Amino acid sequence: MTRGIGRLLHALFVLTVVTFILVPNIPSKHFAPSSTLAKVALQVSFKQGWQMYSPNPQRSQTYMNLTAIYADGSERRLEESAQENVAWNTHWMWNKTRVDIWRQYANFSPKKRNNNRIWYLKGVCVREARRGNVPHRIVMHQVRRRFTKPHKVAQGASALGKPKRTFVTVQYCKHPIVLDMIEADQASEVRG
Amino acid sequence: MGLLARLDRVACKLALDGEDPTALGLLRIVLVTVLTTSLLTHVGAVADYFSRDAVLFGPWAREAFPSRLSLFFWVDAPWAVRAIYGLGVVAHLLWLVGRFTKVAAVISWAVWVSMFGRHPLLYSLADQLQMVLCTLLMLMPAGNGLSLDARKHGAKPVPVWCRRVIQLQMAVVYTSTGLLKTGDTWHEQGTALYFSLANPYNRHFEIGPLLATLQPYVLRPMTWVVLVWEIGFSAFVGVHWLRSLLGRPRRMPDLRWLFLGFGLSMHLGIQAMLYVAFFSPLCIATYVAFLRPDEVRRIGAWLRRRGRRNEQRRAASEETDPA
Repeated sequence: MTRGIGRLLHALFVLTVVTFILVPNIPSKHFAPSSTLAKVALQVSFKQGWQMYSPNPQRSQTYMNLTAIYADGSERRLEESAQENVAWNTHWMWNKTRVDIWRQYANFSPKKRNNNRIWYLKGVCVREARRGNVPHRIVMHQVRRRFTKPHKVAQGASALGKPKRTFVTVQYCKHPIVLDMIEADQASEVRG
Repeated sequence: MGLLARLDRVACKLALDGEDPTALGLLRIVLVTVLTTSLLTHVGAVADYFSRDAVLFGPWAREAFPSRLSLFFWVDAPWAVRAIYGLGVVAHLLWLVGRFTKVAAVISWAVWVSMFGRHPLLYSLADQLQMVLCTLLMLMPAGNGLSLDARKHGAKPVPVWCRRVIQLQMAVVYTSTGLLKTGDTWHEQGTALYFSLANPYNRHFEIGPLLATLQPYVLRPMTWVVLVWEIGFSAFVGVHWLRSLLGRPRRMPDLRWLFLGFGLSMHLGIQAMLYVAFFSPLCIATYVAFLRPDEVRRIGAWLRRRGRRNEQRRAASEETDPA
């Protein structure tokens, strides 16, 4: 009897694991509980959903370009903007950082609201404040280059299109939330 | 035999029956090696990413990433975060050698959950697979074989679902990504591999013109083959399970060499050409789950024989040439 219950519990455990693997992959419009299950699993960062190179791989690459504008009207290009000039060739593990991945998420959907971008830019205000000079605002542009179709490259065209620069957003470093962040950051530095 | 009894038999053969723990032990060793290497790549940046030294910290970090749990939302002093990370490294090493395996696995997993939860935007889809595999492996009795625990307390059988769950996970990864590739670069044009390899975000080599020359003869057919292979991977796993349930009859060919051999070459190719974090090593590591315990034992015996033979040869050459 006890062995039977043990086997049943074992089977239920396996079934639960399999459910957490399979169900979140079903689109919620076909099976509503899938999104609930996905949310539960996400709490421990167990995330299904494997949209890799789909529906198409990237056919252009975008880098962010950030300019800090100070209260006196002076401007400074921030470190992110360097990629616009140097990041169009090759990348290996040792010249990538995890912050590059964050920047990539922050670049998504330039014409729509993107929380990842909002928090990235607030973080840039904090970073610049730590360096001693709080910008008045951060202006974000994107520089995008399309990848040329292979048959044109085979005929001698450049593999990358011309850079196209577009305005994305402005983050004010005097925004109350950002000011709170900077104040708390400075207080924690004083506390050591 | 009644229907229920038959179903019970199938369920047992598929999931609950025990098997020799050697294959799962080897799977633990290769997967945890990748996890440990990945963890060590954070050295030097742990406090910058996960403590109050990060640019997103305190209540704002929790507000930015509200849907996840992380120990580092509550413990955020840089020294404490580094200490927890250090504990995670030790736990990974213990998990790797299989000492105090269960506790080490839970601690390792908790450290990864905390890192991912504290700042999920530092992680890509490749890392997502790493987190999933870490969670699944943590749930398994992976220290029952090829471990210091097994050496001390004796090897114990493990349920067959352990390896099958990893096989299922890989089937889900490959097939769902294949089905989601609905764009014209994957279908009509067959240019998806070209664009993937030409992307300056993560390419290792700047060889656009060469790739463009290869496109019609190599990359276009390969694009379609990859798509078919990905979508077909679930069918392969299904056939593999059926074959195993039926006792590996001769009329059902073993498709592992075909499917996993292709996967291995594809991932080695990706690893050589692109920066994809630890995606290729992880995928290749999971292929160990397709090895049966008797096969792992045979490989182990062969390696030991080879080692002994090399030793004998070295000893013989030292005898003949003492200088």
